[in-house]
Amino acid sequence: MTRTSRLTAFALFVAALVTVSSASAQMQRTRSAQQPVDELFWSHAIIVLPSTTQLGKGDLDFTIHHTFGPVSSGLNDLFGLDLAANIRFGLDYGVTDQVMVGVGRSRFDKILDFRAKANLLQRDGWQVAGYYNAAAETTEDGRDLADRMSYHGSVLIGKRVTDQLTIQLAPGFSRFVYAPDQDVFGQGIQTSLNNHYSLGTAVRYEARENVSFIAEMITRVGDVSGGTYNVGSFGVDLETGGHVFQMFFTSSQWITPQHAVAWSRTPMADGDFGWGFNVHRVFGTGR
Amino acid sequence: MTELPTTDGLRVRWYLALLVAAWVWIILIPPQAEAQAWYAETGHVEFLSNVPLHDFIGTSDVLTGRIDLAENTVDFFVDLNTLDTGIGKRDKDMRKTLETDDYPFAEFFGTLLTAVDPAAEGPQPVEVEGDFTIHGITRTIQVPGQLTFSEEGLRIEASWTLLLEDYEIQPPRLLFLKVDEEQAITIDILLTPES
Repeated sequence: MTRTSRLTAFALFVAALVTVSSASAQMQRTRSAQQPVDELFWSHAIIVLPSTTQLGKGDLDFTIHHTFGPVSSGLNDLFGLDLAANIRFGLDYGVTDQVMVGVGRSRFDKILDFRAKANLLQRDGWQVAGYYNAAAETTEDGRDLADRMSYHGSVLIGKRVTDQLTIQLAPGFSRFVYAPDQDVFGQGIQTSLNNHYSLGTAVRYEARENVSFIAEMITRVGDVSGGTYNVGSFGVDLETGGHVFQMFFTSSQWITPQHAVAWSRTPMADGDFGWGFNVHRVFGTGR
Repeated sequence: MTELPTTDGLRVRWYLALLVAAWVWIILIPPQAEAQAWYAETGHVEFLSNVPLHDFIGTSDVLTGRIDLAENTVDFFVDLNTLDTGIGKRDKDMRKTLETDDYPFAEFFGTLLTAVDPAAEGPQPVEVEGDFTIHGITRTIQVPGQLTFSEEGLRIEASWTLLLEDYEIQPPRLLFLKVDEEQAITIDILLTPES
């Protein structure tokens, strides 16, 4: 016992001296509390679905989204490239690191849409965001503005599974104020619904530092409009400094989520996909 | 009835007294070395990247630094994840380039080559030499700068040029334009006496 006490006291005395001498040694390297957010996707959009990724505060993102006709149109239409393409030009802005807003205009039905996204949760590889889109068809057909409106809201739930693999679920609700029955080519008059429920699922696999594979599925839940189908898309993300290029195949030419959910008339089960691409270019406005 | 202490008991007490004296010395009587140590963790560091028609600056305001004049040591580090270039996506690209998950810090540990006078007024030119580490590569460098003692503390300003290839950093490309190999680094930090 006495020997133990003696050794303990001596060890503490040595520790005290070490404490003094270590004051002049190299400082302990500690990471800052200001750590960047782990981005689950390289862009704020997967293909049609929005992703949980946000723009940084003050970032301005110019987007070109382009979808061609179905590949099944054959060589005569150059596998869809000669057919009518839907194009959306968009601008999105990071109001804060947690909130972004955007506006865009699509060729089909001259749709003008406004959107916003806000982060709700970021923890332990999970990211949850709320997304909202309000769109107006601006074709001149005599309708009031209210009847031209459609809306989409969804909750985006993303999770990093591994360093390479991320997944996302996106339960959503879409509403069209005016939903007349449609005369669908080859199918006659089809019922259209005002309200649509959907579940988006997406996956991204980062194969290389600047190459990712992406796939997404929009599955309608409950009643659906006649002659419409679920939407599947898959493609590749290519990242270069300042740009993200997305090249993909999709079964829907609609670009805004509510129109993809409600109006896609290409049966994915037949393997009828069209080629498309997105280009994102980010500009900084903060400095 | 009080029991007389044994010889072992006296030794234990002697060791305990020695221990208490050591702690009192540490706590109440600051050594000269501490009196001449200066510290801060809110320094500013920035780098200038040259890209044709597209120069940009990255900054961080959490540069941590410590100078001990008695021990003649100069110690700085910054968490590279805190560098901000003004565009979130470019920050992310930069973190990838620097592989900050594996090599989170840029750090310097060295000595002053120039004698400094804490009583002198105005900036004093100095030069330091030591090991600079980034991207897992360490090289010995000499950096010129200046120290200024004032009532606010000890201000240090320094700048030097970093060659990316020296640290096995592959210059990133902004589309088809390559970031220049040379990066101009500047630090500015106000150290206060270490308590």
